[in-house]
Amino acid sequence: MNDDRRIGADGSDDEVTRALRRVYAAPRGRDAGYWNELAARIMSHIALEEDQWWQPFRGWVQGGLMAAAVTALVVGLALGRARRSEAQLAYRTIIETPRTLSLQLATETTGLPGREATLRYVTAP
Amino acid sequence: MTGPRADERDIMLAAQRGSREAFELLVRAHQQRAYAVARAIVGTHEDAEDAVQDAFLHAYRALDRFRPEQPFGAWLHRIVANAALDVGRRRKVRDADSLPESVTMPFRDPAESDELRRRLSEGLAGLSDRQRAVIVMHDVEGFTHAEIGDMIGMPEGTARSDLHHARVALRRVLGDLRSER
Repeated sequence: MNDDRRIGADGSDDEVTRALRRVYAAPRGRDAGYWNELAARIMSHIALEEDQWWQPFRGWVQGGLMAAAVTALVVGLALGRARRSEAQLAYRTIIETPRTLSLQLATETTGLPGREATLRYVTAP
Repeated sequence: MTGPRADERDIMLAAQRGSREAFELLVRAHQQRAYAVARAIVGTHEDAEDAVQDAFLHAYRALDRFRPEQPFGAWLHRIVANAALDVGRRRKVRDADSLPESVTMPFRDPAESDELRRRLSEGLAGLSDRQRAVIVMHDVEGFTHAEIGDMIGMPEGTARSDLHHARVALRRVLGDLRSER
């Protein structure tokens, strides 16, 4: 058979079109159950999404509470550590502070005449 | 392009005011055509269903942006085509390691010869995604070149040229079969 006889004026090919329809055609009206089910699925999808529009905000609330708890914990730890270092610093200051000049002068009398040592003690700030 | 029928316009306006029942009427009226558009673009029945569901969900969210004076179907089909292209892209990423050799054919007709099915599958696999979508939308579903161009986002002339190349390629593989009969 001549193929040209199958080809329409618009270039369509009956056999190609028929074959394609067998593959691609959607389930038609004969399968009403299929379409009812698909419509129901689409609508339940929409209902689910609509009913849950606030879900992301609930996530935000949960996230906010979690962040607040973590912040409180971090701040508490930082405060505790700051207090401990403050106390340590105070102890260290007392322990490690070098003797003052007056105390040195008052005690370092070795090699100085007694009179000069007394004078330095008196004039020391 | 003609505007929507009066009753459909009323249904669309009700849907825009938030009536879920009205939107369901639109779903029931347009789902078969929406499926056909999706099925032309994606490889399988399951992907087409996913694309249709995604598209209606997207349309529902975007209802306030829809202008009632335009046809709902044309607006919806653009959304469906985009959803189907997205599903197709996701599918390709998922299947990157195991690309099928041929196009999946979900609706098997027992009367159809295995040889014809094999040849058609082979021919379709040789087409680009766009050529396949264009020939199915035009020859199976009866969309015009302009409608196809509008849906897929390409000039009408490109749709025409894709259709021509797709037909030539399919005719070649099926032609061999005819000459063997």
